Amino acid sequence: MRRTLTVPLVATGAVVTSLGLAAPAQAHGYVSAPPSRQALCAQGKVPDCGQIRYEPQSVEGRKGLRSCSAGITQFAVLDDDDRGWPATPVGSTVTFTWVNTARHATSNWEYFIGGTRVGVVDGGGRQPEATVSHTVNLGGFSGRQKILAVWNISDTANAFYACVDVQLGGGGPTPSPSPTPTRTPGPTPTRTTPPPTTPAPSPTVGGTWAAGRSYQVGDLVTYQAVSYRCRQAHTAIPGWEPPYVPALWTQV
Amino acid sequence: MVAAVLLLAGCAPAASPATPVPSPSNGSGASTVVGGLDRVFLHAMTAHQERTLAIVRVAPQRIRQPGLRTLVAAVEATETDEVAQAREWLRAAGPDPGGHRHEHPDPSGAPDPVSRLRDTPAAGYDAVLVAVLVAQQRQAAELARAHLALAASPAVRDLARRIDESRTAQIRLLTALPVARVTP
Repeated sequence: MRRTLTVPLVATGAVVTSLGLAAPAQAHGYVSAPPSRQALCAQGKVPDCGQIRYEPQSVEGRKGLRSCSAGITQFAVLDDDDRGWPATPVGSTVTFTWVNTARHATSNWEYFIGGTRVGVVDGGGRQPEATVSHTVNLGGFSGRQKILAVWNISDTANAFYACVDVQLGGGGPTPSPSPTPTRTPGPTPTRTTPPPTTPAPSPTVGGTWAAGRSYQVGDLVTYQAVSYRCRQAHTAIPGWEPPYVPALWTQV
Repeated sequence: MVAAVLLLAGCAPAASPATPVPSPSNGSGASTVVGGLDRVFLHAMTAHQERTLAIVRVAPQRIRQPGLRTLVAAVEATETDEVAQAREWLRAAGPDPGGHRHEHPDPSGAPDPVSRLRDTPAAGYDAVLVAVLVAQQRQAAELARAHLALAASPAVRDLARRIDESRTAQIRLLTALPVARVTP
């Protein structure tokens, strides 16, 4: 097997950072929910999409465009309404989620049906979170609709585009009382309630692995009937179950 | 240095008996086929994790709070393994099908947490590190959560779930530490 040693031998911050930025697929963002046309292509749910399959986050063009492809020839499939794009059933309000693989400072997000702007959310020129969600009221529309979602970047001349096909009145979210698009805070992790993570007072011998416990090197636990020995001190947390984190636990 | 060793281990496990490739469920390694959005997710997440690793490696010797020191060391160890695993999947998936690519620096306006930490003396280091890590891990959890509904490969979905869970829990641990709060 060819060894691709892209991680620097000298792990200085600067070197690692620059490598991280050079990751080619890092760029930009797309609408993940309801799935945009490029997301459906990338998932393989709509076949034969061509290059967009590999970079759904790259539909970038100058601001003010109104096409699904941003005029990029390779992505022209996105403009083709006859490709059998599945329409996601939604209620009269729709929550759109963008996955931002590069967090560009944002002037705003806009949503269009045909020539009508049905939603706008201010970005304040700030860097957005890695994902953002916006709830847009589509109360005046019915049936199948194609929504053009636009992410206007504030520090470049460009915007990112995504078309989302929805079937209105097909269920989904309950109608929202708000007449205008509102920015939902999104699923921000709770940082309010510190968990009861009192360190275990003495090295654990045996016992079942448990989140919240502090383990020291040499501690023995069982997890799903398998025994493990702690090889690096840590407080156990969900997602760090012993079989998943060989840096912390060795099977014995 | 640790990262390089672990990466080598990913291709030649015998070289580092301390680091078995994690394979708890749903297969891993070359048997995991990633494509489409899974590939996009893995690229984005590994790039994000490289920045996390850079952050935790700036000056761990300046950390004073013992709980923070332990957590940061465990984050470095576990994420180093995760990155190695993700890179193995991406390698097994074959070369990226090129095309419309553009690289550019991180979006402007983002203060560089690495240089900020580098310039922070031991006196205020814990507070800055906690602020930076909370923001960094929140982004990781959000990216992972957004991918849960989109993942095609069970192994990649499992990774996304564990990233969401572990980073969310890390934020709780970080914010519970007796460390002063500063803006990230």
